[in-house]
Amino acid sequence: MLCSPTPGAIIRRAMRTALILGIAVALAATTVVVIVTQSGGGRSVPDFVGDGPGVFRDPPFTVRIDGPLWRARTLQDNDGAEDFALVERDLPLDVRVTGSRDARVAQLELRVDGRSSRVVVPCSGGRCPVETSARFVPPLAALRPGEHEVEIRVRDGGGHVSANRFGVRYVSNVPPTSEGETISKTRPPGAGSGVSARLRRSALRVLANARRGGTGGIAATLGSARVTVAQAGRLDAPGRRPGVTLLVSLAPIRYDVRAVVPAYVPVVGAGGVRFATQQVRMRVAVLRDALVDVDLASGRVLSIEPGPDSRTVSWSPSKAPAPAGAADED
Amino acid sequence: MVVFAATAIFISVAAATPPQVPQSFDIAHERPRFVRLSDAGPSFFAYDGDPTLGRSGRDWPVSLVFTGNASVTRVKKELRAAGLTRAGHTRYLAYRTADATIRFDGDRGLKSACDANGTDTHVRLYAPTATDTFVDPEFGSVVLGTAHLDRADGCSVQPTMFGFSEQAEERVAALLARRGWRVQADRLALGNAEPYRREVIDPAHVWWSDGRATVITVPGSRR
Repeated sequence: MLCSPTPGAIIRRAMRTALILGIAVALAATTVVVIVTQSGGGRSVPDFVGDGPGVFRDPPFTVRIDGPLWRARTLQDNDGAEDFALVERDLPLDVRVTGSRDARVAQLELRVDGRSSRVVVPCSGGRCPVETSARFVPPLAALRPGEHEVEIRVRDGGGHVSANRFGVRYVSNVPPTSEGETISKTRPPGAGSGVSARLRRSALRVLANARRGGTGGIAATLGSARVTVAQAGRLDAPGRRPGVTLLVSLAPIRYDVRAVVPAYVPVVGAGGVRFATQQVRMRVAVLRDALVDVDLASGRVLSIEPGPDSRTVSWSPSKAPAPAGAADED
Repeated sequence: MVVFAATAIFISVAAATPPQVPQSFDIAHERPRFVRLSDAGPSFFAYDGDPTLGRSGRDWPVSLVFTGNASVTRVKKELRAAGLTRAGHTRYLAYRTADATIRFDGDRGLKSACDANGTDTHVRLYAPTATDTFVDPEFGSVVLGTAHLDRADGCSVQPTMFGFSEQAEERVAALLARRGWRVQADRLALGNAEPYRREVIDPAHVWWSDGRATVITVPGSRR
């Protein structure tokens, strides 16, 4: 059965409607506040980031930025790592600005590293356009190589400023490179280790002598385990002829190995690379593999270290720890 | 007879400070170059390292090629789920854009937890940040990766070592194969073979890669 609403129900419905309207008005007001805050000259949030143009909505303006320099801008991934282009010459930047009847485009300004580089005033006869375009060519080649900030500022007649910035990496020259060849045309792998069978045998002979001699901690390290060479390669040193570096596996696996073993520390000087010999007191809980560096000229084992599949408990060099790699290569 | 270090200079190291290695000493076996997976595909450097293009300053050869529905975000999500949750230092891989501009994409990579031997697996992934993936007409969406082992890098005791890319490639492939991703071991020859070797000046950097990248197919979101 259908019933007519009572006066009380009508009042309650009216109050509910007023509440909903109030919330909507409050939300709209909040949005306006946010927009006003963003339009105070801060960095706009891009609607689109990619190889296409950047479109920035910053009421009353919409700023569209495109062109070769825009595409060469520096980007950051989610982890903060950069993706940047090598820019070696001045590149154009295309800007289009759309305002409104109440907020016309009074000025476009290019700034590089915070300094004004060029100003465009599109107004004529005291009247400014609702929409305008400009092409800028920031003078990067006049600057030092490195990261630079390019900024486009747009102003209306009422003091509103919209600013958009991005970075570019200028270099004085791009080194010559060979064009990309398709992998079917690349040289097949297996260029060889650079270590002949004879050198490999020689290196193993040095290692065997060290074991038999019982000196240098080699015998204590390897014990009676059978040593199998997993990999053999060059031990390079600039200005010197190469030695041999071996990755060996042990069978059976050795446990709780305590020994004082040879090691070296590279030293870079004006005359090239030298190395300082030292000793390391080590304890290895599980020794499955080892790296062995051999100097064939002197017939010495230069160093022996537990391999990546072995478990080292302590490692105490007599002089200095070996360098932990170039340029944080980890 | 090869003569090595015939006049080896024995000097004492008075200071306890570790000696510093020049930043760009790690030198690739051959001059690195740009390669393409297919004739009309994007070209990329076959090594990561410093944001330079020379033989020195190379870190590791590209040894992983993710295809299918590959994006850096997607592959990292899976690797994180598989336990690679730590980050390393940023290295860069060069690539060419459609207008032939050279760009460098940086990545810190993802590292596994250290195993009982104090060794972790470190994977870095590269693709244009703007699109999160390369697009190759033959291979589809492509993400490139380097992999290496880090020992005593924030865990365990010295000696510290980095490298063994071939072993790291196998570990990553096995990890993702266990999670149902299709793995084609050593399918692509990228011309970046690095024979097993190391250098007196930087013995912590151990080169080893067979120059053949493993192709790993990233399934769709509904796998």
